Amino acid sequence: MRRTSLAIVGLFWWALAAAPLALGGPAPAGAERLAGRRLMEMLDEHQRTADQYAEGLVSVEAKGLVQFLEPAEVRGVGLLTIGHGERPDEQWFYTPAIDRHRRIARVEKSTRFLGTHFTYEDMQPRDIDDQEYRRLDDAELDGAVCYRIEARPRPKTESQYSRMVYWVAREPLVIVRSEGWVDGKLRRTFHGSEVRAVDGIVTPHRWVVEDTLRKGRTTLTLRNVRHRLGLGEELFAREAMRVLHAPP
Amino acid sequence: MTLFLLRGVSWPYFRRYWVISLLTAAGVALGVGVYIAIELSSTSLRVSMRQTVNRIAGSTQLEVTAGEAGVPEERLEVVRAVDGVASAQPMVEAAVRPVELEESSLMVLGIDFLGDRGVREWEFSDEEVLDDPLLFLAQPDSICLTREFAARHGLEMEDAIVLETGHGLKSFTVRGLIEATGPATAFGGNIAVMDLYAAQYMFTRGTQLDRIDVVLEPGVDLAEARERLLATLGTGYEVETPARRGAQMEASVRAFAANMSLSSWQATFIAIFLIFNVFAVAATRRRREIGILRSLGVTRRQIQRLFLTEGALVGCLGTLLGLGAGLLLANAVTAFTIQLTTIAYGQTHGAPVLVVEPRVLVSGALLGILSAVAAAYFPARRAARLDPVEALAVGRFRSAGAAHHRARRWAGIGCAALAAVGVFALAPRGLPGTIVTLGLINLAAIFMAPWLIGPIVRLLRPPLGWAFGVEGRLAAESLIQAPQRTSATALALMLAVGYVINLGGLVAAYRGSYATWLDGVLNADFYIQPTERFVSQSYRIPPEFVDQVAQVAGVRWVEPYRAVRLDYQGSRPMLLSLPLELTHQRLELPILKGDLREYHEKSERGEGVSVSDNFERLYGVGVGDTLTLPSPTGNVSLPVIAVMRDYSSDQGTIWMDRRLYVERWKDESIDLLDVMLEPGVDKDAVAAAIRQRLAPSTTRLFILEAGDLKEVINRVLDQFFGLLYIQLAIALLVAVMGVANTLVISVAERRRELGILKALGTERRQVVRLIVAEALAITAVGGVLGYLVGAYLIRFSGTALTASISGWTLGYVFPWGIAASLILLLALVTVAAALYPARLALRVSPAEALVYE
Repeated sequence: MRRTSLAIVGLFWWALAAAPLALGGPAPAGAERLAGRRLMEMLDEHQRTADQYAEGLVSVEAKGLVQFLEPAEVRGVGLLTIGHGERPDEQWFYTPAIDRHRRIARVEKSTRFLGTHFTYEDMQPRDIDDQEYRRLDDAELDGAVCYRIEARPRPKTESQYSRMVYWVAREPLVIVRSEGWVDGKLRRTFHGSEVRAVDGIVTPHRWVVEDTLRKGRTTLTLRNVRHRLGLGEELFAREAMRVLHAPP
Repeated sequence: MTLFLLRGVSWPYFRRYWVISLLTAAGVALGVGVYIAIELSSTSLRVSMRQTVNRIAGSTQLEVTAGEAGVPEERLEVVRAVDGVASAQPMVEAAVRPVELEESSLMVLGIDFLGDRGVREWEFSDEEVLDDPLLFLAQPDSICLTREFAARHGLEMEDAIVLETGHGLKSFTVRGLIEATGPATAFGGNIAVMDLYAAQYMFTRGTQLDRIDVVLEPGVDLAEARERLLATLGTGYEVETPARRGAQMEASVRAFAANMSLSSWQATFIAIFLIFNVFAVAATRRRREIGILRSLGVTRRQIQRLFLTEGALVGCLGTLLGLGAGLLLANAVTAFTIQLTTIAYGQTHGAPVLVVEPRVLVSGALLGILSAVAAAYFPARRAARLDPVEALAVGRFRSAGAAHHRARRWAGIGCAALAAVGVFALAPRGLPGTIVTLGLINLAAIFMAPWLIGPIVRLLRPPLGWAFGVEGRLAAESLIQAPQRTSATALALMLAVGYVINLGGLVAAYRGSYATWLDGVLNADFYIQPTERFVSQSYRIPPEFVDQVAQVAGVRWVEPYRAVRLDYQGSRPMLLSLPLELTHQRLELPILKGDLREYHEKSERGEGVSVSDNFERLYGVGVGDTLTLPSPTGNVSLPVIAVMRDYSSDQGTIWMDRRLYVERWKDESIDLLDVMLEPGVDKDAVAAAIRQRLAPSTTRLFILEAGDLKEVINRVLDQFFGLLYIQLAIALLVAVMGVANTLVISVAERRRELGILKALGTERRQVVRLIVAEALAITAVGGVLGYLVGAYLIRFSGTALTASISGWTLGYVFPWGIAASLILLLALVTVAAALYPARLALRVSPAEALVYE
């Protein structure tokens, strides 16, 4: 089995917290603090798979911390994302073997993140005001009719995608698919499934991202998702990355 | 007409005296060969430096550096925040030695894997390159190799490669393979890539970066962005294009390159002089032939053109041979110089690759052909001016040169006068003036030395008679009677021997001064270094070792030593830092200027510095002046309290207290630990205890006593001077070839005389003795003159020449050992060179000789 890492904070963020925001609605009250354990599987263009576990803590104040647990060689590696609204987000990477934090530099947004099928842009929370929205015709997905919303980046917004299309299930109201388009061509799809309510919040527990250009996909499975944990701010600081936080 | 004369006159002559022609061409070949080898190796060194810089630079437009001390890591965000900067990526470079592999070095680049794509095209995101990017970053032993390098050594993913690091030998795991394209083509493909922070740890950089590579937003003006970066970062930082940094690296080896070029020119000069000799003798020998041609209506211009064409043809032949020899020699010289500059200057280069620059080949070819034509010019002119009647008259020849002698005498006086002006007025103004003066001294010696040839030969007559009997006296007589035939060879030999004595004296003076100085400063009990090399920017000692070693029982104190090269006035002098309070307790500093007590007090408090004597001379900054040095925390201005004798760097040295250095340069790196022990302790036991103490942190440390360290340094010096000795040998070879050439000419010219001697009953053995005695006499004359010239040149080169190149002045040392061994060597080589002419002489038939002419 070939091991490949999958950085998750962004997807985790996007999957659990940003989706309601993307719809323009208020964040669910229960999403203030949440945590979960993820199993990630990646199937690359050579049909090889990989898996990895990590702990993730996310706050709706645009902060997220992921700490890897397995395999042993990456245990303790941490990724901290701090959103700053209008200013670019900060991302920090922690390597326990040499006890060093590093700030992840701003890079091309379309660059793949740590060898996964996600890009850096996919890993970051999106500000609702960065895009302009238009409702498209409804369409059917897996036998259910969904709302379709097109989002185009505003002129000041940097994005690799010329447009995104969000598919929102009507019942429960949650994003179950989104598409990233570049110059009229579908570049990447994110498909959510295993939708269940946890602590009163509807949460897709399985996400599959497919890269249409590289012909590979990465699957993210969420386990032990919990909301309304009242996590303290101190967990989202660089120093906190030195300690491996067990899920509360 | 010229073609007709070449076929009818020159060709039979060259066919008859083919050995002379070949030897002449070989002289040209050696001159051209040495020139090409040295110039190509210099070019290869330069190209290697620039390629390494440019290829690794990728799309970098500007590079932020702070000398060898490095850029504090926190400045990275400052650079990134500057307006117009699209990407700023940190970099750590280390040229390391792979253990158990047949590779001299591997360039390890520490880059930020999470951002470097903005600067270089690594394509690390491809799964084919990094098997697991997260694992790669999580494990500091992760390394990425080029596919070619890995294939060459049978390495595959997850295999181990052992490298020397600041923490000893460390095993790295291959977790990525890159194609040898873009930056991976630098260093001859011997490139490895590591995570920046792992590289900082492995190569003990602390939190320093070697540099920051900057890419600008599209459309941003380079000059304006540079100004903004400089203004933001403040003094102590350099913001330059990669090309400019390559040029700065070249400046580090400027003195070395100047020495090499000087030596190659000297060898070429000797070769030119020998060609001149051959043509001069040919013009004399062929006077009757010229007389006949002139009588037959051949014009002066046609005669001159014939001689010049002959010169050009010999030059072409020699050039062709020289180009081949030069290319062969260049490979070896390039490998040697790259290895040497790596060792001596701590620079990082790729595997030695010879760069054959057409410019060098063309200039070498022009040098060979034009030198031959130029050397043939005066003999050609003399031949053309011969009066047909005078030329055909036997016995008139020797008196024909009187006016020529007068002209030469005046030229000699003129050159000597100009050389005197040069010594006092030109040489002190810098290297160009010094080289011109050196040329004038050589010319003065060439023009004036013939006055001394007669007296020297007369002095040699009794010993020659004693050693060779009547043949010795005949040989001496022959030289006195025909000075034109032998003087040029003697003069060429004079130049070669003078050159050898000069360089030998300089090397002896330098080594003597260096050894005395080293004895004074290397008096610690132990020196601990992370590598067997003396100078290496790749390996440093972790700062925590200072306390760990100090805590070992028996250790009295430990001095961390750090040496970095700074950019100062367009050069790169060395800044040495030590805890001076401790250092001064063990060292009697060789203070030349300034008050010792004041120096101790102020320098230990960081209130002043001392500079080396060559620093004072090179930059004009001495006691009482304020020295302003750029540092990452702004300009550091300090008074110079003392000038010391110091041979650490040929571009000058500054001594500073370590506390001040660490505070202002933000660099805690250590190159070497000087360890002082308690009196009476067992050195071996303490060394073992130090090893044991540091064992958890490093597996490889070199604990040397002063004598061992001196040996390491002397090995570097041996290599440094090795190339000069090779050039000396070539210069001598050229000169000895001249002796053989002259003897062949001599035998050919004296066929009648030799025939008469044989007709009178001279034995074969006696003929051989005669030729050998004559050869030895020529060598002795050249040798004596060479010793005289060399003896003066040592004085000039030891002061003016070395001062203009490195700022040092050396004491006078006559290399008696070299001089003595040279006598033996020259005698042996001369006898060997005389054997072929002697065989020619034996073939002379008395009957044929008596009807000759």
